[in-house]
Parts: sequence; C-alpha cells; structure tokens
Amino acid sequence: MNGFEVVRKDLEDVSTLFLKGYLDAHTYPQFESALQKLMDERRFKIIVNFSDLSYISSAGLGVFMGFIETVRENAGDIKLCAMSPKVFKVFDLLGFPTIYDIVNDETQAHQKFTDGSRTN
Amino acid sequence: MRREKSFTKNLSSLDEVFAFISTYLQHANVTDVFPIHLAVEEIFANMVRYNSQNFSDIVISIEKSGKTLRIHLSDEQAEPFDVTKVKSPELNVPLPQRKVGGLGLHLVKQFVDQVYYEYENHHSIVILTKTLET
Repeated sequence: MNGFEVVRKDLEDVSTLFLKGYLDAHTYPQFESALQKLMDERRFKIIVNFSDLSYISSAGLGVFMGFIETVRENAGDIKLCAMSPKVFKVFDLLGFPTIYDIVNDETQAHQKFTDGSRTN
Repeated sequence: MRREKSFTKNLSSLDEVFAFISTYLQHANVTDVFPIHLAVEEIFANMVRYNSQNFSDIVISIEKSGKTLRIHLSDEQAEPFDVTKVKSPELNVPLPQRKVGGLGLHLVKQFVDQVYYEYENHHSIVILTKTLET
C-alpha cells in the first residue's frame, strides 16, 4: 500500500496542507475534500507542502486547476513548496510554473503572502 | 522475463497495479519507477473512465528485453477508444481557458518513448515502450 494523507495546519490566515504518499486517480478526492473544506471556511491563503509526497499524476494536478480561480477571486492564492525534482517535473511538463508560485520551502511560501507578490 | 496480471476495472485497483509494476521493475533492476507508474496509471485510469459500463478486467503485461521495456494494457471487453488520439492540452493559454482533459496523455507521451493503440476482438490494447538508460 502506497497510501495518501493530507494534514492541515493553520497559522493566522494562512493554511498549509502537507501531502504525503501517492496522489493519484484513486486518492485525489481526499485532497479535493481538504481544499473544499478550506473554501467552505473561506480560507483562501493556502500553502501546499510537497516534502513527503512521493508521486503525483494528472488526477492530482487537476485538483489544483479546479480551485485556483475561486481562490484568486477571493484575494487568495495557492503557493506550492518543497517538491522533489520528480514531482516538479510533472508540474513543469504541464506548464504550471507560469501559473503558480513554486518555491523551495514553506518559509518562502509564507514570504510570498507577506510580500503580496505572485508569479502571474 | 514477462509477467502478466489481471486487475478489476476500478480505480481502487491502482495500489495493486503499482505493486505489480514495482515488483517487476525491482527484479529487472530498474530503479526509476516514477515515470513507469505514471504512464501506466494514466492509461489504466482512462480505460476505467471510458469503459466503466462493463466489468471486464484490465490485463497488464510487462516485459523487459535488452534495454526496452514493453507494457501492454488490455481492456478485455471494450468499445474502441483510441487514447492516443486524445488532443494534447494547450499549455500556453490563460488560466480560465485551460482544460484538464488530455493532461494525462500528454504526460504519458513525455515519460515513455512510444504509445500504440490496437483494437481487436473487443480488446482495447495500449502498448507503451520505453528505452531504459540503465
């Protein structure tokens, strides 16, 4: 069993989702639910930490596409951080670095919210 | 060495699919599992999504010969659906115009060398080949 887990931590108005394991066509609904819960709570400043995510496929990437517009319409953003090179390659091949801020670690991701800067 | 296994046509089979592929690759001394898992998952998931009305199995066979890895995924009772003809997504359009469909196949084509489709006797077959670096 590869398994998948999402753990959430809130710090003031920023919520961080820590992803662990395999984010695939079978497990992505768990991630979708975690993001939907944030939408329901109107928490739109979101960091996704990939440090423990070993695998992602198109189903996982589709989840990001499903929420980003709502998040930005509400003055928020989804910042991505701590990806392994293999996971980053998948995002890169699909052109995500032009749409999302992808940074090395969580501190930089928080900094992006403080600065108010965005890639796109 | 060739291995073959049948899987229930459901996304919940993915864990078993990954385990089957990993075990084979380990025996074949292939260490870069990620791109193979991804290519197989995307095709498997498409077969589940586009032919969910029947309950036939999906049979996966894998064989390494020299430096070439060949993987067959066969839906044993399917309507013809050529996954290789799915249009690639446009990656340079603004966010609201982006579509999620086609992303998976676009990735498959980046991670393996060739993707073929065959349809014979109600069997929908996708063949992936990849030249290994090791």
